[in-house]
Amino acid sequence: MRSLPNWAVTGLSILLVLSAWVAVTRLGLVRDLFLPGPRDLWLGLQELLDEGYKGRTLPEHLGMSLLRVGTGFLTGALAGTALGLAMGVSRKLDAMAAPFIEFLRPLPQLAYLVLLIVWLGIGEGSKISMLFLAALPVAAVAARDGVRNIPPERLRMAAALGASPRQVFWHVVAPSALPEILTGARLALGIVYATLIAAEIIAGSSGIGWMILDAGRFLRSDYAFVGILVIGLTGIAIDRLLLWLERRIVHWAGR
Amino acid sequence: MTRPGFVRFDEVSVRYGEGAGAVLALERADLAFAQGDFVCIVGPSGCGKTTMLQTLAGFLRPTGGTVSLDGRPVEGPAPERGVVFQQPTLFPWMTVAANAGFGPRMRGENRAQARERVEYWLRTTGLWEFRDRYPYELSGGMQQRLAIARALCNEPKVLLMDEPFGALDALTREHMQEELHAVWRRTGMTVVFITHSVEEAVYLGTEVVVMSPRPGRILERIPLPFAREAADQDIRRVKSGAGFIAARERVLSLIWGMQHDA
Repeated sequence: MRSLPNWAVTGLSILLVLSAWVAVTRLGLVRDLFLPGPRDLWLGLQELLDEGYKGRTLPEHLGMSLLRVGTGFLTGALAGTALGLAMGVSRKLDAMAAPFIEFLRPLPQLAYLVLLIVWLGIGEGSKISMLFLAALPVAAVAARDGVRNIPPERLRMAAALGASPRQVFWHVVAPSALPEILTGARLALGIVYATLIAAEIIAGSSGIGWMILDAGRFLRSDYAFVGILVIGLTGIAIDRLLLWLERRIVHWAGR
Repeated sequence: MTRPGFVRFDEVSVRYGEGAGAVLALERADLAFAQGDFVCIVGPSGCGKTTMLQTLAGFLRPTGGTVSLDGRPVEGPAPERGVVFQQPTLFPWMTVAANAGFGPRMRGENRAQARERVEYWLRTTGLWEFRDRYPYELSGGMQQRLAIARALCNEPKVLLMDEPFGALDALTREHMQEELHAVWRRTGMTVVFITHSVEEAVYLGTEVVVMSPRPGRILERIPLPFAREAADQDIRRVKSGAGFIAARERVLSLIWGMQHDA
């Protein structure tokens, strides 16, 4: 075991869980309702791809969800980063905005879900607002801290080399904070993604989160499982993509 | 062409804090020197040497007195006064060439001209072949050479260096002294150089200014011949000459004397 590389251990670990699943379902130790077997899942997946679930195919549901995640994340992260950069530069603005950001950040999104429905109805507006509000404070805090952690000598150096205050901001402050902004964005995307299911509880008939909840209600465990697998694997893929981008863009960070 | 009083400190005082807790970091410092001088400031910690440099850089406003360069009072940082810190303080997301060209780029200088100057200084400092690399790919000595090249690309009237070689190993440090000395001889530029190493100060300086602490003030100015005489002589030969050793010991005894008085 000691000589086994880590990726092989990961592979073995996944294989072990999969085999246990196959064994338990094949031997009929648990009912299909609680844990559908590989065959059931495969058939379920086929149905979801061919006929879809309540009017939409699986890729369509996933597409709807990703569109919501993308819109909520991008608007929330952009607004949060802009706010955070401004807060990092201006202590006064920080003093003004910090209490709201600090309040919003640890607040479970479900807590304000009801209000959003009352204010914005049950359409896309309330769903995307919820994701926006999930991303904004995380991005704002990351950008603000990114600005605060810039070594003061770096800013003095820029001024001594002839940069105007505006140039110092765009050419030194913003790029200096970039590694922390990107780390914040990855964190925000994770939270937005996790909030998605909650957002899709809001009445509707689309989205992979809604599909899982609705299938569960009708005891279609196979659909629910397929949905969970798809949402989980997509999450990993998105995170890896962001990590790769981060390493490419800020390859110089921390070195 | 030398003009007296190219750099002037007139009764410059710097006080930190207020009331009983106030610290006088610099007390009525008077110092003037000519264009082309290489002035080394030495003294124990707390003697106000960095404070003095910071008023000239424009990072710190004196509580009293004035600092001026070429007849104009210093008001804030400006590219006419190049700065090199102990840490290279490079911009890590920029390549070597982009770091060197930062000043000219910010000042909106003619691109072709700026590129030429960047190439000149990168070649002079032996960094030209690393121009597309990033600072983290360079050694400590190379990073500090880049910091110096970056300051020189702005063609400053005076170069201010605060312990620029303090973080380097002994061998690299000596090489850097030689290189800086060569650059100074070639350009004839004005340098203010802070160091803890008396040997370094005596080798590089046309003058050594010795400062004493609590409150920080100028104790003595000692003119030195070695910087102008050394020419192409080997650095070890200069430093082991009898005259050099005598001058070094004289400065050292001033600093030692202070510590015994205190």
